[in-house]
Amino acid sequence: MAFIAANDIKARKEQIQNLVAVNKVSIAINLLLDYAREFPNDSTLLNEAINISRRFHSNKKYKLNNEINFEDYEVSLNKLVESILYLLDSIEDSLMLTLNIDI
Amino acid sequence: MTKKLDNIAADLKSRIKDFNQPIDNHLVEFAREYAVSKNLLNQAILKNFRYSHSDRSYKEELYPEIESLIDSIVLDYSENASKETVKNAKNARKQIEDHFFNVSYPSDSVFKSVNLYKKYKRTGFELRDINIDLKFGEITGVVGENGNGKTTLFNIIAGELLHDSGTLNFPYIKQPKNGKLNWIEIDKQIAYVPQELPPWHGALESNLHYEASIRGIKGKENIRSVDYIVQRLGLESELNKKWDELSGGFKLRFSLARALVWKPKLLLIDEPLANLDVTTQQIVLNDLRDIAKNIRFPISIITSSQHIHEIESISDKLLFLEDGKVGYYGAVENVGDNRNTNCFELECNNSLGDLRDALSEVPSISIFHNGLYCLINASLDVSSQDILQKLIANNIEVDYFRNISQSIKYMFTKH
Repeated sequence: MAFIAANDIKARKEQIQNLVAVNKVSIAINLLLDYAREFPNDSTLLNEAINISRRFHSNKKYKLNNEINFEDYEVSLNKLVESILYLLDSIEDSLMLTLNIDI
Repeated sequence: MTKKLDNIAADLKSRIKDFNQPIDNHLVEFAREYAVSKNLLNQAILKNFRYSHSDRSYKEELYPEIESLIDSIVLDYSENASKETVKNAKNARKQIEDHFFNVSYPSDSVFKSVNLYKKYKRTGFELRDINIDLKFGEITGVVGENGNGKTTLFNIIAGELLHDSGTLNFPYIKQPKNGKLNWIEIDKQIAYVPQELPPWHGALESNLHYEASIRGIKGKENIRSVDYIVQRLGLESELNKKWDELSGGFKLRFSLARALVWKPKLLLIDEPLANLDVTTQQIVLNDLRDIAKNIRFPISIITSSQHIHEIESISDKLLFLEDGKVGYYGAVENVGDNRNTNCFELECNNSLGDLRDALSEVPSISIFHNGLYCLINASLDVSSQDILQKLIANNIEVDYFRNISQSIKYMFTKH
């Protein structure tokens, strides 16, 4: 992975989006956890990132143990990816509020 | 512009329609460039994701949706790109980016030593003239052969071993005016993960909550800190195990979690890569790099290893210890700046004689075997390409080749 400066918020968000797009969800979630912890002041956003990570690992475990069929696994994975993208936007919205930036 | 955009969109469609080619993240890049609506960008990421992990038949099924999404993005751009509200939204995002661009690590040193000296009376080993400066956001890699003072240095910095002379300074940590170090305060900011990991007793998760708690992290914040570190280091699947049931890799990761859960200012990790398989080594190294580069909770990391290339790949500075003295201390990119020759490591099935014949036209060359690899020393104007071209031209089948001229490994070869 290319080195990205820690304070380059745009590049870090795009890196997470790109990883999701090429199906590297596990790495994307790790970076999302850091992103949600570092930038917003709102701890509920970090809680959401933690929940996403939990859901991802539970799903993986269910799949490994054959406790979930392929279709259901795919549906939950798609939902999880949507949650990641939604959270990234929520973090941006939260920063706009914190920094008092009006559109 | 619309004509040009139509062409770009058509190219992208034909690329995606070639179902045998990976699309990487071309759809996302297109959406990032032209989609005005956030929703369209997110749809592009989602479709790119679904396409990336699908088989051919599903890709074919997905294609019409992608085609229609590309058309929507083109339409969105042509209808909305010039609107004032869109410009304002872009400007708002730029303001956030600029705000964080101006945030950087504190430039403070977390630890400094001046002429640090320690002698073991029984063995006579001396660690001497150690002058180092550990800063926030930096990873310092300490390398050296066994018995050259790495662990001694770590124990001194962590306050577990007294030095004989020289100065230790923790500028970031408030110290009394009498010049003596206040180890109680220092201990609140330093986490040390030793080479020999002490066993944990009781439930693993409780240990993490306990550690956070005694470091002042209480209530919801305690739960969140532990949840974060458990997820971040991928420990959830092992939480219900006992310490003795964990693999070496997970023992290290749990120890790392306990060290990081309370956000120390300085992290010392002695030989983290020892006994780890290659995949786990990479995971641990990536984690260390991500942990160090954190602008909200800045930290300085000092770590030692015998895995030179691996440690070089994540370190900002290197400290090379030889016989208890500093052989090199400085930025990774400056290693080898003062060298007189280039040096290459090589592994092949041919004899040294074959290699010497193959490289006989290379000026001022010397070749020897160090027990692991053939080492080729040549003048500074000889590049990797020069050596490899000669070897290939002489039908030498190369199993492994590496230019170590700007690696600490080059210094090891001098012994």
